[in-house]
Amino acid sequence: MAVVCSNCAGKLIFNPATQRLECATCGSSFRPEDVEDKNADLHSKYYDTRVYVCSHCGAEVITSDTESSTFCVYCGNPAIVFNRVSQEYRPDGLVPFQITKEEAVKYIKLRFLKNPIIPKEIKSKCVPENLRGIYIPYWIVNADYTEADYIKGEVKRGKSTETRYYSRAGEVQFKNIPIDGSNILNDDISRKLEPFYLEEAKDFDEDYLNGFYSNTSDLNYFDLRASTAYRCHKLFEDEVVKTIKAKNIKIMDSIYHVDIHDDPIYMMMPVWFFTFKYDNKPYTILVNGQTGKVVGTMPWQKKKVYSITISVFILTFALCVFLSWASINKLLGMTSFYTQGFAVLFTMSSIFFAKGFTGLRRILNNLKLTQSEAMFKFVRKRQG
Amino acid sequence: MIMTDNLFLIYAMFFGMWVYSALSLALFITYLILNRNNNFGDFAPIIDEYSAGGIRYLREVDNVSSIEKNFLFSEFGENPYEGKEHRYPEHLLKNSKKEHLDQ
Repeated sequence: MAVVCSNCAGKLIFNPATQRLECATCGSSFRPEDVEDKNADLHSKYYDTRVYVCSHCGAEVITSDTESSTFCVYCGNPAIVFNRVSQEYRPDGLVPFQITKEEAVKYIKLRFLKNPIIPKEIKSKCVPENLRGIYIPYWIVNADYTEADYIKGEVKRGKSTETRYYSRAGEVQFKNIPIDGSNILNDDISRKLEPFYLEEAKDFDEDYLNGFYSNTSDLNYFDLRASTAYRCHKLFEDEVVKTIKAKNIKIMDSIYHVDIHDDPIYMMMPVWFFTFKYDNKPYTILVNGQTGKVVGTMPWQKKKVYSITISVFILTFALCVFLSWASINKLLGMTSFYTQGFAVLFTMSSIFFAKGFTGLRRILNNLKLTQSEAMFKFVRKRQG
Repeated sequence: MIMTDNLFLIYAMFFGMWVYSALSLALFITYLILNRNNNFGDFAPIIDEYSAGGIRYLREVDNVSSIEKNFLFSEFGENPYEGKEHRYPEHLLKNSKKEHLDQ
């Protein structure tokens, strides 16, 4: 269990700002590596934790004994109950929190909360008390990888377009790929939290967990292999298309093999979770606890957004009608100048339409990721 | 009569065009506004960050025929790492056992 202050036996909490363990009672501070853990020799492969379980979403949250859990950091539900004291597998290392809770709030506010379409109630909820720091498990993997791709692309020949096919195959030695070790956290979200800089990693010392939550890896070897293969495939795919000089490139078929090197490193990475409910839906905004990178999509006030969209539509339409009315006599002649103008307007409108449509679709997909439904897909499956 | 039909057609065409333009612009501006609420895509790691030297190409052929796919996949279809023995980390093995017991 967590250590206590050697001067007053008060609880020690890790402060990311000073990178020291601080006693809230007498104000003493210690370097984590200088604090002796009396239990370390007894069970060096494991460390003691308190496990809380959310009866709403089924997530397990682990704390050291300095922190008690009052609501689920994943879905925001207060129905969280202490479940058991558990011995968890000791990670090889961890990247300590470097961003304080107050700084995380500042980054969220800077990124999102100046926007007038953000609901006021969310702005009022974004306070340090509503943020929870969690160490997320990651596996740092080295792997040998081979892939072969059959690719289609379009090449211009004079005025016509020709479809061509390409073959690419290659091997890569991947080093230090971070693979999210928790099935609870959606892989798409965890990838967006990167980069984590491993140069600042420390040997695992449970004193760093004081004042934070943690989660243990629930992957088995085959999950890890599948996640690594998928990750390598995505990186390979992105690189291989750069070697093809064609448009509308599409990978038609791929075959790939991965071989994970022995002993991947089990690490803990720091993430701040801001969980809240809006319109009866749960949302989770994440902040990388090392770099301060904010990941997520904030909900918006629908009425405000609709009114802006409708206003723009009416104004643009009215402007177009006015302009065409003003020059209707010339337009009726349909001179080549106006025909060309018509074509330009149509092209520009099509570009705006395509950009707006694909962009909105991407934002809505990201919003779904931010909503806990997507994040806890696995947990819900497990709950049946 | 023909003149009236033409006029109607031109008006309809313009009306359709203006609706399309206004809709496109409204959609695009809505996207720009909502995009300020979205922060997902500003880091895309590339292969060089996680590998020493990137891809070592074993085949790189342009403008191939449709039969090439069969050759390609027959050559690279077999798992080159098949049969390699590994020492799996205890934690991963423990999770496998736990899942097996749960089932």
